[in-house]
Amino acid sequence: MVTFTLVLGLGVAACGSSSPDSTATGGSLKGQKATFVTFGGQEEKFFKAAFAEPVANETGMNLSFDQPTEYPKLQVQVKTGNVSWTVVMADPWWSLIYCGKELEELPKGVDTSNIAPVYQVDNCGVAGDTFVFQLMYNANDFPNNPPTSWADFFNTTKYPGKRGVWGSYVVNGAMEAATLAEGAEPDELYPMDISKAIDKLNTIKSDITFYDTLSQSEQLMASEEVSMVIAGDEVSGWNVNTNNKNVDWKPVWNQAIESWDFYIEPKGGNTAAAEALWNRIGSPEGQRQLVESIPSGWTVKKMTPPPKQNAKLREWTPSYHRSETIPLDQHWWAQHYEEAESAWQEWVSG
Amino acid sequence: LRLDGWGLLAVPAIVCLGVFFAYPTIEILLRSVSEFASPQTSGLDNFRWFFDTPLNVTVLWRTFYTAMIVTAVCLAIAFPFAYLMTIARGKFRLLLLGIVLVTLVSSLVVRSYAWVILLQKSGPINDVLAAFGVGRVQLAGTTVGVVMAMSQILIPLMILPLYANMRAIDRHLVLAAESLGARPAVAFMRVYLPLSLPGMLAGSLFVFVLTLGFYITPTLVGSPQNALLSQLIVTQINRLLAFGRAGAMSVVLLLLALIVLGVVARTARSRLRLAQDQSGEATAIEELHKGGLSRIALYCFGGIAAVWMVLPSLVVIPMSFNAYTSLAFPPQALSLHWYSNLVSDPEWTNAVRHTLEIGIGTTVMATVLGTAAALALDRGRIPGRKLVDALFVAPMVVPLVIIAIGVYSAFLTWHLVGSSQAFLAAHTVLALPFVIFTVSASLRTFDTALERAAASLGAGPVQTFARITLPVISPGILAGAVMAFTVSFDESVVSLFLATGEYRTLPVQIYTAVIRNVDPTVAAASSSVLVLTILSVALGGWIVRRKRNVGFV
Repeated sequence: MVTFTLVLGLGVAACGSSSPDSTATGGSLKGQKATFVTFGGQEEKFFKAAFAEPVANETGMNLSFDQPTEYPKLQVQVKTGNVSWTVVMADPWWSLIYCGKELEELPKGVDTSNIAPVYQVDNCGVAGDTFVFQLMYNANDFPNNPPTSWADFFNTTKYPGKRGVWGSYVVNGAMEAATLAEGAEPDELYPMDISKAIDKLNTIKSDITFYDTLSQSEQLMASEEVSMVIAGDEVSGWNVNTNNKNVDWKPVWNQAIESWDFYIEPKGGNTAAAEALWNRIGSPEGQRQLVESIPSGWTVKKMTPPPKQNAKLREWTPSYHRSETIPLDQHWWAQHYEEAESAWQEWVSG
Repeated sequence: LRLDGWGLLAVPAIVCLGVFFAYPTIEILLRSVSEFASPQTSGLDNFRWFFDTPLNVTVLWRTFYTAMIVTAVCLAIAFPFAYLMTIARGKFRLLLLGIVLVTLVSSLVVRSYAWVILLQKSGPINDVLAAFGVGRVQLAGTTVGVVMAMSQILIPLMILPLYANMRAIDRHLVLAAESLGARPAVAFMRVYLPLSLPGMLAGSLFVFVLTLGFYITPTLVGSPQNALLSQLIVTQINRLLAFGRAGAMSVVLLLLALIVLGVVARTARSRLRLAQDQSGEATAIEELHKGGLSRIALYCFGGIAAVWMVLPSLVVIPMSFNAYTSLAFPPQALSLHWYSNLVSDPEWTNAVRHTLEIGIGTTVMATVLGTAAALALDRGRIPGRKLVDALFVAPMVVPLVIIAIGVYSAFLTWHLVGSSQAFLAAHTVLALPFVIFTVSASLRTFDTALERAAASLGAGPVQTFARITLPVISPGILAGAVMAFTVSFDESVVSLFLATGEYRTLPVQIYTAVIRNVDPTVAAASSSVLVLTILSVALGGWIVRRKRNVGFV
């Protein structure tokens, strides 16, 4: 009888401690393991500081960090049942493909009401910050009459010099740039013709230097090895200017492609911890802290009062340039990712 | 035929290699015919896919000729240097050998990182070219850049076998040819060169096979346009989870390595006989050659080769004092900030701690298992001896990238990825062959009469082993242990697959930092590793000299 009571008691206690706590109050997460994953790079520390560390301090969860996000790694974790990642910085189009399969859906306790609906593409993640794929040029190379459009990026006679393009990753703005340079109007940019876009890119292939990671693109820019880039995000240009003397890179906002980070949770992760992180990521306070340190854009509907940014930071922040930029069609990419990826890799390495 | 008592000692090493090397490697190769990603479905589809995709064939061909060029460049630089080593004496020879050893044991990731800095358009190499009026050329991300980096990194593996071979060539033979009327150049070509062929073949083989499986350097220095097969294999795994296709590519890569190995082994065997017949001990007759233009040229060339080996890596040191978060060289302002970051940032301190943990663990495991196996090979009866021999060499022959993906896929199913046990197992497997070889070498020269003498004086087998055998072969064991630690300390390819955010070793941390951050903490870490390496080699040389145990030197 004693044994029976003990077993019953333990069972109840075990159930009690493992039941999901929808309000995610401070005490319940204390000591729980969670991992916040970003794409890495120099800006990682600002994402940690704005989106993750305040939550860890408040709840006492045992938070660690990993980078970079690699989707196959996430899939392997889910497939083998070793899920160590909790909240993962990802692309919205990827979430659209895997929502309901490898991804957890948002629990009821996550508040997404502050986020502008255009960014909240599905119920498997929270849109946290925006960025752009954009044309940047070295002002030392083009002091007068600088490039202003994607057509100029492809005009190597008028604007000689190497072009940096993200080679290891197809969703990099290059196909959009090629299509727009061919004269497509912003509202007829999608659906894109993949092979036509690659043909256009192929016309300047000998002038392209491919980079693998954002840090490599920053190196190319800092060492002035290239004269223009299709930057993987605006922060890289801002980083280059901040960290190097005598270089001056300028952003072109006209028809820059706007995308955003979508924070997701692999199936089988620590949802209670994810919930607390998600609520911070979707909050004006969290995003304010981020954009006051690096020129990321915000996804919340209202940022009042405006964030405290100096003029430099404001110049590079996408949220102030939304009248000129074009949003990336996440649904088109979700449907065409594989086709585009294999065409791209073949073109790059061939 | 059955195992005897001595033979049993090989069992732990066999099991370890069987479970953590042979099984994962064979399994990944077999997946080429058992696992398919759409649109492949069955049979030999993965191979059909491989040869039907123009990109793969282009890259296969590119991998082959890149390996050929790297081998040729290494040979061209290594030959005069190794020759210089054989005629150098005393401290000078020790210095030359020290340079080779420092280059050999310096971290691969650190040296690749150095090349990233060197090859930039605004980097030191281009500065020199510009100063000479050549103008700045694109080196980063080109095949030329990749070949420069790889041949600098692999050159010690060409020099050492060449040196070992040349040391044994009796130069009296060249003199004899000259005294019979051959011009020096002819005597050299017809007598010396053929005698040094085995060394050239062995060195070329090392360099060629390693280039085939190279991953870290081409990834850091190159670009997708000059991707090698190893990079394509990793892409199939890392990006597409297509283990079947990666398996098929691995089969192709392995076959390429084995064909080259077979051809070289065949050539070497016939040549080796010739060399053995004719070689004696190297003698100090080079005094006869003193002076002369060719000698000056030799010293000049040797000096250039030495600079080529040492200087590139040192570029990381000034970078580590860079005040800016940038790779621009030379630094525009100086700071010690990155060193304080290195000792305070948990990402770096944890990486150092993990590296030491794994390094020490690997050293213990590999030394114990390897010494036991070497004793078994020397004294025991082992059924299937040829197979066991092959198993013990295989981790050095199979291209590393294949071992890496094999181990990764096996450890995934065993839920080991990201654990310290995974690193320990993988590193032990890679270090074992080195221990087995060095201990076997010292056992071959061990005089068993000593043991019989001890036994006849009443010592038991255990006492004889502990008091006689062990002390005599201990230099071999020590050398093996040092090599095991070096292998583990520097291992980056397999580790890259086993690492997670929570558990990383230093090479993985450096690699990740190089590709993900411009942060010069990586330069501070690299400089520290490099300086420690140079100091350890210097210390080793000092100890060797003091002990007058100059057998190898």
